[in-house]
Amino acid sequence: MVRTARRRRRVLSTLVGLSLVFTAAGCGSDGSSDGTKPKEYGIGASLYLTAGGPEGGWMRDAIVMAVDEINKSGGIGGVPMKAYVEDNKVNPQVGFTVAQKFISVDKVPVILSTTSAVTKTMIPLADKHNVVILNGGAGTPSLANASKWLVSDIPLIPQETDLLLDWAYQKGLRRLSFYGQNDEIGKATSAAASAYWKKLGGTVLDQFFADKGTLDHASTIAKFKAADPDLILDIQFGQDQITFVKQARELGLDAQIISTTGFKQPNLLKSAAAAAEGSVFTQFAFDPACTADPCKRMVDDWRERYGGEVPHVFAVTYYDLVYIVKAAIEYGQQHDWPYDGEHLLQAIEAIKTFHGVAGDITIHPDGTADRPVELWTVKNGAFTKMQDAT
Amino acid sequence: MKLVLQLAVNGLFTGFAVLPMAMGFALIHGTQRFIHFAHASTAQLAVYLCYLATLVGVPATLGWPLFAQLAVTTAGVGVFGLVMQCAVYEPFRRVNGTAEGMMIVSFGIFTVGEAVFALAFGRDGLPVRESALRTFDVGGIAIPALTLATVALAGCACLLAWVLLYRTRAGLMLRAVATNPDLAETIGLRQRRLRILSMVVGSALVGPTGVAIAYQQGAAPGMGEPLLLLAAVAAIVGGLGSVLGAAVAAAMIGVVQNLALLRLDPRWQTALAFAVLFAFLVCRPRGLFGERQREVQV
Repeated sequence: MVRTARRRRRVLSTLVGLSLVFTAAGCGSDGSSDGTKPKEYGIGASLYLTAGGPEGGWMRDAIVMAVDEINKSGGIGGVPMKAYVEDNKVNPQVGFTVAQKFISVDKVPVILSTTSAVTKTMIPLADKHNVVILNGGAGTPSLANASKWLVSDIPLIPQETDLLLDWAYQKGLRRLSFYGQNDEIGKATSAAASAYWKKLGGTVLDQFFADKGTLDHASTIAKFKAADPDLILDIQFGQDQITFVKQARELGLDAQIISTTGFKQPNLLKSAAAAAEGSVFTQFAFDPACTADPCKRMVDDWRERYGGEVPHVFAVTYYDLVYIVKAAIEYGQQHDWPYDGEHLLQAIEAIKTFHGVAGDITIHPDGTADRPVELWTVKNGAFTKMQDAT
Repeated sequence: MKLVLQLAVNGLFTGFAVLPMAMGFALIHGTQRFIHFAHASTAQLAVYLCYLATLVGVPATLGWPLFAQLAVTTAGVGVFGLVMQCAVYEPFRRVNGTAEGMMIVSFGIFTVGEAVFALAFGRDGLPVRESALRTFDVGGIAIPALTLATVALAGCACLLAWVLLYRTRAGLMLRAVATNPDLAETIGLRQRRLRILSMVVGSALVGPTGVAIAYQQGAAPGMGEPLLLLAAVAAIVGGLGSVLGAAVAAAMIGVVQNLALLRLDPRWQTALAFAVLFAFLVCRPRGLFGERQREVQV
């Protein structure tokens, strides 16, 4: 009897001891709330991987590469970083579920997000759970001041459309038609661009919206032709944009087409180079021939790892986001802060200006950032820079 | 007026692009007596085959000559029809040959097909290489050569289908099975062979549709379903079994859908096609050129 009681006590004390060890070490990627270092610094990345275009895959590649670089150089204060990447399919409902998973299962205090609709869906969750959302791809104007937890390392789309419209107005174009994706980004950009164009003195003829995935634009093009605009501001993405440009030229629509950062996609030149000739678009500045870090480091690592050039500027913006998180964590370590959303946000606000691949990124109080924007065109079947960064 | 004419030209493209597919749908329905949902998968395959065909060939903007791409696509979907009939429909017909059972199997093929295409080609759109086909300007109305080629292709497909159905022994037997399958069996017609023939020809007819759509819109997942809807509506409105009816109905629906854009948003186009179908089912159930069904009372 005595031996049995002793054995029971030994088993119980072992279990209690083990549970204490596990509690102290922490489980999953939990941030520590008592100032001690966690086992890992987990970050979530909600990206479009199986729908919406190839950019999502490039964003993932950039995030994974940046995390690997950080870990190879010893992690952050000796603690490795880990990226949890999930596919949001450009679907707000899926994006919401993915964010819930990051928060409750992976227990990450920061989520990298993209696309306006998905990012906006995540905001209530971020507000409730004190999770920082870092955006490097969504540009709808309503993201400014949308939540204190939302921080972008890019400017919102009006910075790009204003530059385009200034160029068009100076060129003597006056009659504008708008064609946008039938969602938050399309509608909000239409409103902002129309207001700016009218302020400049131009006329807005009409505004049409197409659901994502619309591949037959013939009827809308016929309506554009009837209105006879000088220029069309096209805010669509991926193949929707390519088919629009192709069909517009096939159906004899000769208005100047202008667009934003998403326009520079390799598939456009493969399948619609002639149709896109003369189109003008904005692009976040990025010089692949750069010679200084962190730009050179990214370009070299990308070549070594993926065997080619950095394919899109969205790879740059998400690479930068990982290093923004790193800088915020380091700041927190210096102040002995725990790894949680509140302190990450506090650190980002304190640092304010980060050294990014394409230059300094300054975060504004409304959660957006300045990033140099360039004017590009399609000339002789190639993407060609027209105007340096402004 | 120019806008009306331009929309009519656009409508003709839509109508004639789906016309061969509509005839294929009508042929399969006529001989096999079930709704062939997997016709959408055949159309999806045709679009992807055309996309693949444009990747191969001389480094010119057009890729292979158009007729070679058409031949590859048509042969590919014909073989797909053959495999589908022999490997799925015929074995199932021996177990449960009811129209409902066959329709469910067909829906299953369609569902599996969607997943397979997504796995094979991804969820992103794949733009077809730039066409060297030009656009003609007739009094301010843009008439793309693709539209003319589509009308010509659809016309040829119609002609071939008519010759097959009305000028060959096989066509006579197909029509016999379509009119009265029991009597056809009684007089010794080999129904299995005729079913296979109808599926192969019906599927091959989707080839021209796939090429026209791939050139206009590229290849992307989920393209088969809206094409099937339009084709089915055209086949029913034209009168199931009538080649001329399908042609007229396809052109009519395409033009009506596009002209409606003068007042409606493009998102109402599919609903409009169904409105036309509904009107015909109520007012003229046999369609434009369908034969009146006679009930014999004993």
